[in-house]
Amino acid sequence: MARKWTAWVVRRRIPVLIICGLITVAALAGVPRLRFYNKMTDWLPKDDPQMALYHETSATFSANNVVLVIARPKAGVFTAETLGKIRTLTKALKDREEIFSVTSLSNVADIKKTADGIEVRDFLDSIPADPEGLKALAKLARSKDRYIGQVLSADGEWFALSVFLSDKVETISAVEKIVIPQAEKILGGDMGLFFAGSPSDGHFINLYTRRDLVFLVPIMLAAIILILFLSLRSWRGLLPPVLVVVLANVWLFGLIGWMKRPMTIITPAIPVLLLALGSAYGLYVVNKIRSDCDADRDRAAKDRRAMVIASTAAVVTPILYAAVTDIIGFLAFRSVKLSLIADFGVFAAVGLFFAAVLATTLLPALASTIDFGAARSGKAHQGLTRFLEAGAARVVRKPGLTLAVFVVLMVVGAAGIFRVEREVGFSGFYAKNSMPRKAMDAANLHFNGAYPDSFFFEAEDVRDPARLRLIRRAESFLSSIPSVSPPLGVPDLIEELNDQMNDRIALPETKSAVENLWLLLEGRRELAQMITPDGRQTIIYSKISDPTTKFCTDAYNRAETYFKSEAARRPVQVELNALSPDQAISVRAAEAGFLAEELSWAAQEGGGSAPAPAAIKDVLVAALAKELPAGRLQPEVAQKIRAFCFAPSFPFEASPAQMETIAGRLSDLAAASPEAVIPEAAAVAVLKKHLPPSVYDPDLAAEAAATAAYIAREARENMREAFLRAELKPLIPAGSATFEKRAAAVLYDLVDGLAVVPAAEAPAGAAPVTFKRADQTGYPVMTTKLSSSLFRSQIQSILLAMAVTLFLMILMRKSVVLGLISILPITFATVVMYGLLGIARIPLDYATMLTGSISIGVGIDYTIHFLYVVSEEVRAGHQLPEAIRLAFLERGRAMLSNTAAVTAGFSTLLLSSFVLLRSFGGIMVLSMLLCFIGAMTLLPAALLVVRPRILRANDEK
Amino acid sequence: MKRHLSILAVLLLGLCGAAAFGARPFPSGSDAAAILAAVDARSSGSLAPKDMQSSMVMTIHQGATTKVREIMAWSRNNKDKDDDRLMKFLAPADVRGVGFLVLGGDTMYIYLPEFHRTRRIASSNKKDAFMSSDFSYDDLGTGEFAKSYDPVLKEDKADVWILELKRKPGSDTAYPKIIMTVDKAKSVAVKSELYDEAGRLAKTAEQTPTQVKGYWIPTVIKMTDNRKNTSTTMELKDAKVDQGIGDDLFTERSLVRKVQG
Repeated sequence: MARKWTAWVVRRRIPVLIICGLITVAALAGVPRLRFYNKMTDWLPKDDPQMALYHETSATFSANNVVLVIARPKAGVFTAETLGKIRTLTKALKDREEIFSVTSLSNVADIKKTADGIEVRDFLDSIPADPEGLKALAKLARSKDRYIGQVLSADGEWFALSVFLSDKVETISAVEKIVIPQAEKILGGDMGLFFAGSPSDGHFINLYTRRDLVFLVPIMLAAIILILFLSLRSWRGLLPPVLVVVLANVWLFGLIGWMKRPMTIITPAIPVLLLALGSAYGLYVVNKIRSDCDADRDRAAKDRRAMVIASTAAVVTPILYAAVTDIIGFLAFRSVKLSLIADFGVFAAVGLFFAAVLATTLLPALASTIDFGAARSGKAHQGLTRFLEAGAARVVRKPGLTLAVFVVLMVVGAAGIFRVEREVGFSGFYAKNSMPRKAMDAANLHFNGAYPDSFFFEAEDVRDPARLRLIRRAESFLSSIPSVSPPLGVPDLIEELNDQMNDRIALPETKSAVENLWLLLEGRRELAQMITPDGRQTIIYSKISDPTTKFCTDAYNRAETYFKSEAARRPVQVELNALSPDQAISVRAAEAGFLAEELSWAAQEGGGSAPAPAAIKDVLVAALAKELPAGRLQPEVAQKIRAFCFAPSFPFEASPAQMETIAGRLSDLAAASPEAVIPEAAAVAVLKKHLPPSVYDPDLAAEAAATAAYIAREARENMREAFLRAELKPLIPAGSATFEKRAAAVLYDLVDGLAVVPAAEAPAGAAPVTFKRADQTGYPVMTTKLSSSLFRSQIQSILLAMAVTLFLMILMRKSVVLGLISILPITFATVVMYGLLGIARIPLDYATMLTGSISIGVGIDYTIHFLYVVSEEVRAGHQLPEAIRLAFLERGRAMLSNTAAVTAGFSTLLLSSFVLLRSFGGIMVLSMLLCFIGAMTLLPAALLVVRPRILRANDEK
Repeated sequence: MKRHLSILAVLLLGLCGAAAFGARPFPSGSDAAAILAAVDARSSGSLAPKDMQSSMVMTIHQGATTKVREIMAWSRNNKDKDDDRLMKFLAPADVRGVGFLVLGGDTMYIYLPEFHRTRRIASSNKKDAFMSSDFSYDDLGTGEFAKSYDPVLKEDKADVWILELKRKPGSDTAYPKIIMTVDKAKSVAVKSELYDEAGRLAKTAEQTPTQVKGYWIPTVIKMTDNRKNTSTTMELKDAKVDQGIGDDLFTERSLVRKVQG
């Protein structure tokens, strides 16, 4: 069959050459259509619920598509020119439909209290022209804890724009075509400009991968050509295998271009793979032709074509066996869920198919036309022969010892496998002094990171007071995780506005109060990033400054535990005013315990230490039982009542003397009770008594009485909250502004009439506080999923490749024992290689995970060729040891040449700008050596020890 | 001759009468400035009501979500600045009693009944949305177009004029360009296409005027945000004009008082 095929090709050599040429031209036309696309989220299957949520929150809130534009202007941030540029850039970006929103110093809300109200404006509403004004502006900006780490660094030297990209556009393209060009154009060159975040990672990966491909592949090719030349000593001899590889690559990449399939971060590994495997196909053909021609030069001169047909036919079968094994092995990747790997498998399979076709058609067609030159028996050649003979002799002499050594090595390797770590984030791939790495460092150091980490909640109405408390609780938990920036959510906005309007950092206890404040919040730009218009979905948004896989997985697991435990507690809401005093005390204590956890998390603020919740609870319960310090509440109430009576909004117009009397009488009502309670009916009576009849109105009086009672209650709650904080101070000393705000909000929960507690600690019948969905989303989720998927894909692909290889080998060799022995070298190479990864702490990433598959492909090729010769020689009458020796000589040279050449090729990856490709290159060098050693040593040793029946025929004779 | 003079006198009287009863001031078809002046006069100038009281229903459509707000509103026409306005929310129940008081377009007070508190809000960001509607604070302002825009007459159709308004240098209004469709009979802008800084059609405002005591009042105003695909409709009901609303209504005290509605 092989002979018939080769004869057919040689007879039609001219058409074959023409067709190859035409295909090459067509493929070249597809090459300009190639494009890179490295969006991690697209590699994962969308049916995973958490990845589906990731995409949903990206679309709804643009939560996950953030680019940080960071700069350190030489002239300083607070100059008129720099501030003007920030404003111009913000405007230019936010008007684009590709941009969801932009937050910067220019448009971050500046809300401040005034004597009788609040003033709301954009921070850079106007830019001072004078130095004093600029200095004051700088001081103001640096005093705002919400600005620091978001739009301005703590030292005031750096500024950042958070650009949220619309999910409706291709985000990497938006970064490349809009964000980066606009920033460079408007900010100019003396800004020390950086871009950080997942979308910009995708851009830089594309850029660097493109550069590497263009830069490294020619170097790789040159290295391989050099080694092959040294080995073959003939240009005419080395060009054919190189031609096979080059054309296979051109055809493959042309096809990828025509099919518009994107290239990814691991696509540069494909030319490398084709070099490793495809060059071997061509080398075997060339070597066989040259050595046969050399052995029978007369016949070669007389009937070159017949010689070529015979020589090629002798190697076509093992080449096709090897190619089929490799192709099926790579096609098995299609079953892997990670699309990055699945696509790689298909590309590799197609490329190898092209290489096999070219090796078995183009090369014989060329060989029958051009002389590939003779295999020169120079000193080097003879030296190599002697080396191979010595190697064969050593193995044949002590196969048992050889086998034992390999088993020990495999055991050590297996132990190392359990230490293998994974790294799927792009951040670790950049060199230290590269632009994206510097950007990431700047983002981590000055802006709490660039990678989003969010919690998502969905309910009938997430603005329900009880639900808001649970959302705030989740914020407190999130803030306790190390390397997580202070989260921002709807509760923070409501608390801030409550503080500005009513001087209390607290979540209101009634729905109406929330809605009152919400009227003012509605329309604010930042809301679109936090809550849907229907109020059903909301996210808490924060960032992480440690994007490594290890950290992300840890953060992910912590959050999973949190959500599970919170759901298990089944929180309920209780109106304390509806309970008996004893019940109220009991629920209050339960609430103190629940809130103590939250305070403990909040106090940890990014991974610090905090007192245990139990200790906090004890202090709170004790404090709640104490009375407020005497003599402070009543004067406070009296002062506020007086201010109310004399305010322009007081419902009645009366003389100052009448107002004074009314204020005094109302204060007396407050003074009559230790808790300064003003009974509304009594207040109405006071107003009726002291207002002129012409002025008095019962409805207005009821309103005024309710206000007076509210003022007293508010003063009481404010004082109790301050008292609780003071009692906690010995246990939790004063913290950051962020913590103090959080603590105030939590403590206000303990003084108002609403309690949210676990169901087990609440009276029967309390209303549950539930969410339709509550889950985490963002970078840690994506990273953890990718990491798991990568790991599963790795295991799956290796096991599949092994299984497929074993099956095919059993089929080809018609022997189960021989099939099992066949996969020993690749098992050895795989186990030792991964073991070394674990021992050397080189992480498993997108590139290193391919080494297993490539090793299997290369290793099995060597095995197939070696075994083929052994079988043929046994069939020819030789005993097994002699057959092995002949296999060493006949195939050893080609295998050694191939190993040396491919090793040289992979070594060039050490020049890559990517840590990822550098590691890959180093591992592949090792892998190739292991494959060669395994095929040339372990395989023959195993054959000699086991002596499969199928190879024993001549022994028995 | 006498007969011609009589006819002329009748015509002149008729014209004066029509003007007195609030008919259009007859700007020339080629005089864009005059057309715009007429629109301004009608909306906030000499031909606008001195004051007005009405109930309002604001319906906000945001995708699948619809919010309905009922408001009681009073306004008073000021000669040289924006109107004074008092708005009290009637529905939904959670915001009933919330009051907004705007004096001269710049000073704003809000009363939150749940907190029994009035606060003054100075917001320089007029471009922010009012109550999450598609109207910005700027959009709801009653300032004259002529002060901020230079008009050009683009089309003179049978029933309407189409004006292109270009923002004057130094003006801080939100829209650099407006295409305004003016009803010839009423001198009221029935449609305004508002363009953003990038030259895109940002919003479209459509008004349906109704005559109330001789004044053309826009009783239905629909604002569509063309970028976000949302719209808000304000419908005025029971509009009462020229009631002699006094200063004491536009005070913080009024803000606090409950409204029967």
